[in-house]
Order: sequence, then structure tokens, then C-alpha cells
Amino acid sequence: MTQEKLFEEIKNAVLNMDVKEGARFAKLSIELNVNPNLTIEKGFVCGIQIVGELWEKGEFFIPEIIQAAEVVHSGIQILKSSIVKETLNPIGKVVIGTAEGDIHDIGKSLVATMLESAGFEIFDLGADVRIRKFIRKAKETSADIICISALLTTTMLSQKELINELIKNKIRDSFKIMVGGAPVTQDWAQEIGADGYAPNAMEAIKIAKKLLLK
Amino acid sequence: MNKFLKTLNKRKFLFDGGMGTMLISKGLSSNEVPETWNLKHPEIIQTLHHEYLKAGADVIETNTFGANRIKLSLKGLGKEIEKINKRAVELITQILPQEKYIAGDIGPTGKLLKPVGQLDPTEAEQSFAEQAAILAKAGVHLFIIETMYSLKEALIALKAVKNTTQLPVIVSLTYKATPRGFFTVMGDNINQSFELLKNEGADVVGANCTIGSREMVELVKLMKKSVDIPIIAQPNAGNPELKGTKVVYKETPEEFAYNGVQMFNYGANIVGGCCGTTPEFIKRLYENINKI
Repeated sequence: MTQEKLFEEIKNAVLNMDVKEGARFAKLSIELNVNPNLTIEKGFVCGIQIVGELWEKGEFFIPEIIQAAEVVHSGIQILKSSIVKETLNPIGKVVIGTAEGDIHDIGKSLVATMLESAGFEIFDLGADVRIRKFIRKAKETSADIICISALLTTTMLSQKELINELIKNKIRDSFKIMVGGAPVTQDWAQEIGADGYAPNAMEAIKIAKKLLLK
Repeated sequence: MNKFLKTLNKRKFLFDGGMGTMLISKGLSSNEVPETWNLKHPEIIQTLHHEYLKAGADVIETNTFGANRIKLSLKGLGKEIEKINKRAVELITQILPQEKYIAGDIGPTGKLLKPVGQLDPTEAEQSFAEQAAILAKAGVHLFIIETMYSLKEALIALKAVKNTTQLPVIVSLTYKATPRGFFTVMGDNINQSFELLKNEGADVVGANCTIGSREMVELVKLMKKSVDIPIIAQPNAGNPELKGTKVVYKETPEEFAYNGVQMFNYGANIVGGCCGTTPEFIKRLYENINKI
């Protein structure tokens, strides 16, 4: 099997939400000695990007995205186990969580999975996370990006509080801040001084990658 | 036939407007559970209900959107479930004129059902039934299951309420606009959702939250075509934005009232407001429909 064919099969497994096929081709990638980073990027991530486009078009919804993300997640686990750690360098570190007072973590978890599939190392703090905890974890892990999600209009102000707290501690420039959640918009992100906003998990990958270059 | 349902066919009905967003403007902080204010600040909740009644609302919703066991337990408030729901009803009962109604408000669990998520359908059903039983016993006249982003969860809630009481049940889903039309984030379309909800005994179906009033007019046209039972529409006041340190919604009471009249014209039986709407929105709408 050529590399191109392999990547194509993996892409299809993601689009068909077929965990077994995804795993089979991840193992085949190892047998064929294909560079695992390339398999992730050209196969799994490429597939999940198409899934994102289908979401935009209103053809895929949360159940499809979660199942497709599962294919990517398990595929990456298989590829990771086959190689020495150093060769699978994370492209960046992300601390992620849902704002304090907000128990909604469906969207946030999806973003975490997507970013992981795109090669980021993820520190998921879960839901209902205090500002202090975000900052502590970000410092401890030397994170590149902090992602803070809020599904409620009551909790979206925490996103602003996080940024204010970083400014107060004189470490605002140490991290990029990404915000998201149902009531959050681009205008809001700009207003509070966040570095990035993504309307969905797929877009989050693009924005996060862009932020690393800044 | 139930009095509420009988009247529903005769005239336009107004629900109240936003609760959570109003509470924020009254000082609810981000780490507080809005429903705990039924116990902590009953006077604020009651004043707000009163303002909506004065504005012309026919039906007032209890402040119990997130007061189910699954959601409350996440904040360590599981033990308070009966107190919170019961008090919510009392606060309206005390000030309700005779010809008006109390709707017991039931929102989603906030978790995804199996197999997509971890939530067991039986657990969800028990949680909804428990809340419905407390609200019914406390004296609500009808139920509104709202902001449901999953048809599956809406159906479970409907079944739970139906098995608990004989009161009328409204089921309102939340739709987003996609290039292919309106869908819930779980991918449920209008036709299929409403048909199933009707078959399972919903007395009224409709939509709330996520979209503003202009988009809701379009949605009402589609909803009306899809089903032959009464329709409810409760849009947001547009999209939230930040002004200083406050979250604001762009839509004005005038815009909302103008579009609200359109919703009635295109076949909605009940119109109310969701996030960002205030008593002023309902008042304007009341004035507009009574001009016609």
C-alpha cells in the first residue's frame, strides 16, 4: 500500500466514524514504517478537518463529531505507543477548562480532543475551574495557550477576569488566551483582549496553530 | 379539556422574558447557581416575576431551569432540590392574578446521553420525574421543557413529566441556523422532532434561545408548516456582547416586539423571550399585539 493510499483510508475511517478501521490502518502505518507524525497529519487530522467542514455545512452534528474524534484519538494512541517519545514532539502545550460556575464541558472536551489530535499536549482541568487554577497549571506546565470556555452568559465574564488576573500578575504575555463557548463571539474576544476565539472545535485547531507562530 | 389549552386556541399568549440574564444584572455572580436565589433572595425573584406580570405576560416560568438533581448535584446542592423547586412556585403563587398561569420550567441535564456521552437514560428520566413531581405538587399549572439541544433528551423529559402529572406540557428545542436549515446541535430537524414530540404527547412544541427574534420569525414559518399543534417561540435578544464589564444583548425591545407580532402572524400561539430579554421587551410586545 502506498503512503497516499494509507492516508486516504485513514481519512475515510475518520469520516465514516469507524474506530476499528482507524485502528487497523494506524497499525498498518507502523508495520509499513511510515513516519507516525505524517500519518497523524495527513491521515487523521486531515480527516477531522473535513469533519469540521461538514459541521459548518450542517451535515455533521455533535454525535458525528464525537465519534469521529474518537477514531482520531484511538488512532493517535496506537501510533504514540509505537515510537520513542522524543520523536512525537507536541507542537504546543494547552491548558484548557470551563469557567468557574459553569458545569458544561461537552464543547470544551471536544476542543481538547481536537487539539490533541492536531499534536498539542493537553492539560484538561475539566469544568467549573477557578481562575487561580488555570493560572497555576499554566505556569506549572509552561503552557503556550490557555483555553477558557463558558456556555453561560453568567460565566463568560470569567474569561475577562482571567485576562485581568494575568495582567495583574504581570504575566499576560506569557500565555496566549483562547476563548470559546455558545454565547462567546469574535467581538467579545476582542473586547476582553483575548488572543483568539473559535466558534467550534475545528476552527480552534487553526486558531491555536496560528497563535503559536505569533 | 384543560383551561390553559382551551384558552390557548382562542387568543395570543405571552410568556415572560429572560430570567438568568436579569439575575446577572441584579448581581448574580458567575459562581452562583441562579436557582439558589429562590432561597437566598426571594424578594428579587418575586419582584422580577411581578414586573413580567405587569408587563402583560400571561404565563410566568418558575426559576427552576437548572434545578434538576443531575445539575444541582454537580454543585453539591442535590439535597436542596425540593426546597429550591417548591419555593420557586410559591414565589409566583403569592402574586399571581387569577386568570394567569405558572409554568414549571425544566431545562436540560447538561450532560450528553449514551452512547455519545455518559448519561444513562434512566438516570435522566428519574431526574426529570423527580423535579416535575415537586413542581406539580407545589402547584404549577403547566410545564415547559425548554432549551433542549437533544431531541432524545427532550423525549425523555416529556415522558418523565407525562408519567408524573396530567398537566399540559410544552416542549421547546433550541435550533441553530446551518446552511441546510435549522437543526439542534445534535442534528435533529424540525419536522421529525415535532412529529415525535406530538406523538409522545406534547401539547405545544416550539423553539427558544440561541437565535434572535428576526431569525425566529423564519423558524416560526417552518415550525407552523411542520405540525398541527400550538407553537411557542421564545428568541434571545440577539447575540450577547460586552459593554464595559457587562454582557449586553443588541436587540431593542422595539425590534423584539415588531418581530414578535410577525411570529404571531405566521402562526405562533405563544411568544415569550429568552436570554437578554427584559420586562420592557414583553411590555412592548404586549402593547403591539393589543394594537392589532
